[in-house]
Amino acid sequence: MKTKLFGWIDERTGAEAIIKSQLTEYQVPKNLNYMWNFGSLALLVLVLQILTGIFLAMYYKPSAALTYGGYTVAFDSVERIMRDVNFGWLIRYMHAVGASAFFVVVYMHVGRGLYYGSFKGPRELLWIIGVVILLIMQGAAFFGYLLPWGQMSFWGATVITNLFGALPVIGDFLQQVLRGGFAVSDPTLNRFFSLHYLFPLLLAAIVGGHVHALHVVHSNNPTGLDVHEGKGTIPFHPYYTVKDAFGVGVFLTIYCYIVFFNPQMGGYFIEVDN
Amino acid sequence: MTDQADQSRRNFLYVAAGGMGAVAAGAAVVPFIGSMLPAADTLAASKTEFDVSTVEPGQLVVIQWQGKPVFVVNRTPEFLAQVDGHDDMLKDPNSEAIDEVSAEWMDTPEKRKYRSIKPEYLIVVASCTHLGCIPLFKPTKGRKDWGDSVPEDWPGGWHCPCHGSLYDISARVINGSPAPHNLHLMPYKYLSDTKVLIG
Ligand code: HEM
Ligand code: FES
Repeated sequence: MKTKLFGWIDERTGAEAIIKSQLTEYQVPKNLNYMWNFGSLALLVLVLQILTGIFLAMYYKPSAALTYGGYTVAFDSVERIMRDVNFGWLIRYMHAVGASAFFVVVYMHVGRGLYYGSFKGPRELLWIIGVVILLIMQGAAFFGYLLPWGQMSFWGATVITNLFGALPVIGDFLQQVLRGGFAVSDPTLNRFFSLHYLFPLLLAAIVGGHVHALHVVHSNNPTGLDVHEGKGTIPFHPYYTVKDAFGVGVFLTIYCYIVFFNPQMGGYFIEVDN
Repeated sequence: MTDQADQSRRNFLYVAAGGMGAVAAGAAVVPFIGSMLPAADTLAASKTEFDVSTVEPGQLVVIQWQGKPVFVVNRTPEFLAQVDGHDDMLKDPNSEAIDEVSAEWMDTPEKRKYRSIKPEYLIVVASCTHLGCIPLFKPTKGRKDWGDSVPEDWPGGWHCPCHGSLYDISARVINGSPAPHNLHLMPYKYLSDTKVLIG
């Protein structure tokens, strides 16, 4: 079933062997429960965030300049996305709900690791990469939160940059590096937008390392015992492709319900002030 | 129980699941491509009102319509006289080649020649039909004002600086230009004696 084109590529990349060893015939414990679905869900949400973000960036304008209406260019551009851009409301809600969903999914993922001891040897590096991912996620979300330039954005950024200012000796310096001024202002908004675009791309690269680190040491399982020696494993495909796809279906059902029927989640996902 | 998989049942499930996935992915593409089309406020800005009496005789004004430049010229009697006498130099003297150079109000040979509802006010899209540059206004006849940037028998009109297309004073393209067509017209109508609604 190898096409000529794939054969040509395979000869030059060894793609078939990689796909076999890393995906279709990659060995996974057969006793994983649904707590092991959250890694693939986190990957899905990361892709969704990058995709919706690229489209939002086509209309979003990171400027604190005042407009005739008495608002700011940034705030007005978000309002325009909600009111005038075709499906802008949908793409913005997908992005905002996705940001919260990302943390829900990753907390489940991390909680699974804590509960089943997945952080213990030989998976220490996998865990450490995960912690780095979590920190970058928090950065990305924090930068994104400033972008609408609403009241919550502004004071949120003020509070968190002040937090850095409280550090002894280097505090003032750090604060000015973050803000590009003496208060949260136009240069802050510009650099936050730049970094908000950068961080998820960093995440994509680091998640690649995370999955690679996983594939070296293999998945843990609910028993906590190593099952990779005997008959304890099954190939990833079709068993876990189907199980992960089922998880994706459940996740998307909940996600779509929130996006379409309750996108602000009573102010938990999007504050009324923004 | 046997180890034999029911292949036809399995294939059906593959195709059904794959098909549903493809439909869902296709549907998900709609809002994303849709968002790249002009937004509602961009569409709302697709009509422009303009008062042609603000253009002095002999003057050319460039206004914006849908983000594109539009020429409005107040043609003096001399300019109008320059419309005649060089039909053999034109690719499409009667503006019949494509829809964009024609208009339903062009119901007389006169209007086909002047390419405007009121002869003195020419209103055309200011993009060269070659590759879209804005041609330079060189309305007077001959080389007196323009040197050898125009041919010796220059009837007066526009000269595109990008690749040298020439148009006469009715924005009709002159033979030998890289541009294939006369400058495009856009729909417009007079709301009053001097107010036009473009778009
Ligand atoms: C962008 C966020 C993340 C993505 C896309 C991601 C992706 C994945 C994927 C696809 C797997 C394999 C499937 C699974 O075991 O569920 C995995 C496993 C794992 N991840 Fe993550 N992850 C993310 C964040 C984190 C974080 C924040 C931590 C911990 C601080 C972490 C720790 C782990 C561990 C320990 C495993 C192995 C689990 C086991 O075998 O029991 N991950 N990750
Ligand atoms: S764009 Fe005018 S001549 Fe090429």
